[in-house]
Amino acid sequence: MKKIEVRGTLFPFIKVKNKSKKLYDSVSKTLFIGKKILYLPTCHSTNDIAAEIVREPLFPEGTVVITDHQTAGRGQRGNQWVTSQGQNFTFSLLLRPSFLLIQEQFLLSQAVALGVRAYLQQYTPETLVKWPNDLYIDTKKVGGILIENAIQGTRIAHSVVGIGLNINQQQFQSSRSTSLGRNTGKIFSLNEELSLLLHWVESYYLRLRAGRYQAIREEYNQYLLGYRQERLFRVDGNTFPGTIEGISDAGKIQIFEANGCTMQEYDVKEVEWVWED
Amino acid sequence: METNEIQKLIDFIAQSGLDEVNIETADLKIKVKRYGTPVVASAAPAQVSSAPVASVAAAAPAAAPAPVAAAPAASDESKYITIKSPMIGTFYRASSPEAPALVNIGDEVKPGKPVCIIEAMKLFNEIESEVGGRIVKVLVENATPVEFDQPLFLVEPV
Repeated sequence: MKKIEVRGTLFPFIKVKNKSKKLYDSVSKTLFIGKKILYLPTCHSTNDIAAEIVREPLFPEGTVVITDHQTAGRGQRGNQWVTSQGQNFTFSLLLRPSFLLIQEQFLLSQAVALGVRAYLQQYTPETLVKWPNDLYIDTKKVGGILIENAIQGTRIAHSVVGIGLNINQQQFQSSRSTSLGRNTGKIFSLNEELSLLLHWVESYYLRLRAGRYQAIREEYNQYLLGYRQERLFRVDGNTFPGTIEGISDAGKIQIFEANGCTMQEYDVKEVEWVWED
Repeated sequence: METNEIQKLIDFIAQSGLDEVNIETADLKIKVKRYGTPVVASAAPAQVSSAPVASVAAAAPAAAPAPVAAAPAASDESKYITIKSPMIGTFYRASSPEAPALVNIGDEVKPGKPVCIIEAMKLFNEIESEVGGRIVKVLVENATPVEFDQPLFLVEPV
């Protein structure tokens, strides 16, 4: 078996397309995503591995780094992404969205979230995106996205898109978490689902590459958790009822505060979501 | 090798007056190189940060050296290149809270070398230097907001 050296450790390098006929069929539906898959049975963080191999000609745009067991997975800065071994998706995708301006990068986040959402939608209708880029089934988190870009001058040289998605895990420590399998009562084949998921993510990435920015923004609002519904938010320790009226091009959330009749824009760290159930 | 052992080794080499040291064992290869002459390495940053200048001035006769020291400092700043923020966001010196800073004062950078992370809306942007040189000043505090075009680092061309 071919092996690849990363940080002094040899990993098996598996071209997934030879593994099963069904998988081959669905991966062939994509143009470039998932044509090369680096499978690591265990690794600290697929985003870190992807960032290291990004300059290797062996790993072109669309390369996927996937693991069964991530030991130091990251959520939002400092938050850990904890996942059961071999039951869920933990992978990173190499992209080169050099067509995007730096200030347009939230569109990449929106496009990837919509791709993952569209995949989930096939099995479960109540799939929404929670701003900025978490995936929810009803009011429970099923997945998250962590994007790391390399900026050269005014351009995005490359992006590492980390996706964590709960598929077959049944038990969760948090009552706010779920999996696709738990929600639907089915057990999924990760091999088969990966191809489908990549197909959907690529489909939205191609829309982005084709410049369909307005359509992406509109669809993002359409599937945004809490969009145009009154709910509770917390800012600087004050809880207030408000309505999400939209998302700015930079990705800030625009909340209409009912009591003060004012519209405010917030950054991720400035506003907290208050669950009422 | 532990971090503090490497630190001790660097301290030892710093005091030794050697310009370059290569150590190679079965499981370790370490290369420590001093750039430029030791005099330049300590003097240049001292002129941008005010405290060391003040202590030198205090040792010398009182009134006269202060304005003299100020003049070269101002002209020195102009020879530095500024690395500016390409975007609005939150500035981080390291890729994660546990990781060491991507660059420190005195580090040499080349075009393509990541110097900081700027986070915006959960997208993490690793900013690569477009210039080569030595970092002489970090102009922004870790984990604070930055504006578009805000100066982040001063770099002395090498």
